[in-house]
Amino acid sequence: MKILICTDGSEHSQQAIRFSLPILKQPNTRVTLLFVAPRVEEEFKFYEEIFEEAFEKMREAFKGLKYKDPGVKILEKSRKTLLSRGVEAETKMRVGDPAEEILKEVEEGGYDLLVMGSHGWKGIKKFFMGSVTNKVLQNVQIPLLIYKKPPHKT
Amino acid sequence: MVFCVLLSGFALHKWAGFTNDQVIASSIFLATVLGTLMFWSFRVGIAFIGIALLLLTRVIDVEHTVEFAALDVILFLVGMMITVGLLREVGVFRWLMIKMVKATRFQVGRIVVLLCFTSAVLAMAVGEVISIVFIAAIVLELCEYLKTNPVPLLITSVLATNVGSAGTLLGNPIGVLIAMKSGLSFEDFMLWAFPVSILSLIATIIVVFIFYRKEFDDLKKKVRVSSEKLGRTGFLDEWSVVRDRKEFYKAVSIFVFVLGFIALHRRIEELMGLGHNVMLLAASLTGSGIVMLWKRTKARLYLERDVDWWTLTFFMLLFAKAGALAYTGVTDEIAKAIAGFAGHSMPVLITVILWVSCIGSSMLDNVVLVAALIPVIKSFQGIVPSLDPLWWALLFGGCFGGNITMVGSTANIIALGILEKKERIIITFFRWFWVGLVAGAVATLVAQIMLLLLWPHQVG
Repeated sequence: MKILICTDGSEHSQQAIRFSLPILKQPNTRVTLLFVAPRVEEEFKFYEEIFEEAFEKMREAFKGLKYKDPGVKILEKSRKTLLSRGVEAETKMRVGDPAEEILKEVEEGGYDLLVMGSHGWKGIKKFFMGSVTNKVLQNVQIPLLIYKKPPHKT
Repeated sequence: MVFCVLLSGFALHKWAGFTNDQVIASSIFLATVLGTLMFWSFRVGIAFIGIALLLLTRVIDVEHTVEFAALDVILFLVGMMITVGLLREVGVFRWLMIKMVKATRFQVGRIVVLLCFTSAVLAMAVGEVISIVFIAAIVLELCEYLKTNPVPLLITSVLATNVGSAGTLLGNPIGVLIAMKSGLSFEDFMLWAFPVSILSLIATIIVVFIFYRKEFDDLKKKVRVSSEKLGRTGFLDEWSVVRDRKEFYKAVSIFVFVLGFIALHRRIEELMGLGHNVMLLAASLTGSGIVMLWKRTKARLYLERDVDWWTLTFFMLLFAKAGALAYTGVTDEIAKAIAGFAGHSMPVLITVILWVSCIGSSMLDNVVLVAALIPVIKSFQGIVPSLDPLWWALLFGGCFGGNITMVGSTANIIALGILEKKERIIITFFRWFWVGLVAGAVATLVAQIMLLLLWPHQVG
């Protein structure tokens, strides 16, 4: 079975990974971790080269600093969580609208199950943020496992 | 979008009694506004088609289109972008950033205050966009070094950049536009805009200290941990980021020369009997000319790489469309409506223009808004004793309002792009909005108080 897990580095996605471990540990399971990086604002692109040059040169003054893409760090963190539970996973990064890119990856990769966490935004925040999970839920053609944090017990 | 434009055109014709030309001019301008709001990457395309439609419908002729395109503003910006490009290439900004970090002595209070003042002063000298590009680079390095989240410090820097950009006529394209259209000089900006900008900056710093008190407390702990490491490595030599010191000094001399002529442009114009702001344009063109003669093998590169032609082309077409609004009398109608509401009372007019431009520029590109409001303010000529207080209200509203939302100014959009590219962080609307709203409103309120106190002196 091919399983795709979406991660954004948040606690929600880490919990989704932990929650789905019993399925991930099944024999003959291939796990892929996906992080979708945001698309860079068009207006910034003109200044991108100038910024990159400044960023690299100034780094010389901060001795010992090495840049590592935060997307790579997020994927490594999730991969480590899986490895510590004995699950091997390959990692992938895409750039663009999160929901659209997840749907594209599902279509291109021929997966059997999609796992993701939900932030559980409500009210006005949900309206402004939109919901990646909702958009994926509406359009995905394979089984989907959504982990939603249960409400606090009083 | 087409439906909205047609509907508003019909409404203007039916209820506001607009003529056909006025309906076409305002509908095409509205299409540009909607284009910048919703279809950012299509905005230049929409601007091109808009001008073609204005010409084909005979709303304006070619001569007036060229006249309204404000080549003086565009050429001034081209000249300054080339000179600033030289400063960037020889490492002046990198050098300045490292100097600033050293001056902070890694104390959180000093980091925040120095970051805000450097952002603001750099914006005043070379414009908000270049200022934020370099400030963002140093903030990301610093935060990575201190292993802390860069978002609070980056938002703080952007807020300071926008406030600082109102301090001189070099800070923001709307400052250049207002100066060229109103005849206000660099000295006028130093006398009336600079002090207000500094006061608003202090108010903004207080707001961010209150708003981000938790984050800054957390930063204090991180700094304590890193201080031992700092003592051991003894890093940060500002000259390590400069390739050639001779070139560095030469480039700074050219910039100081240009800045000197810009600062004295009004006096030189009076001495030589030149027209308003001729020296302003000449200083910018001479500076960039010297740069291109000195670096002749790279001259073409400066013109292509350091001049933001995409934005400048949009500005030219936008100014022409705003000119069409004035040409067809639409802006006179708006001025009449404002006068009907605000009367001829200067304090009320200042308040209305300040807050309309503040709220408007929080949602729109401030250049779009200011381009439309300049002819409106010109329509008040003869109605009020002096237009100067209204120009300042427009400038402060246009710059400070940009702090309210994350799309309020070019500096905001660039900072967001940097965060997306380097940190893979998307800032949510509300993460920016609450701090932006309070900082923007407080800075505008300071400007309001100062304008109400100062306007009798400006008129006199």
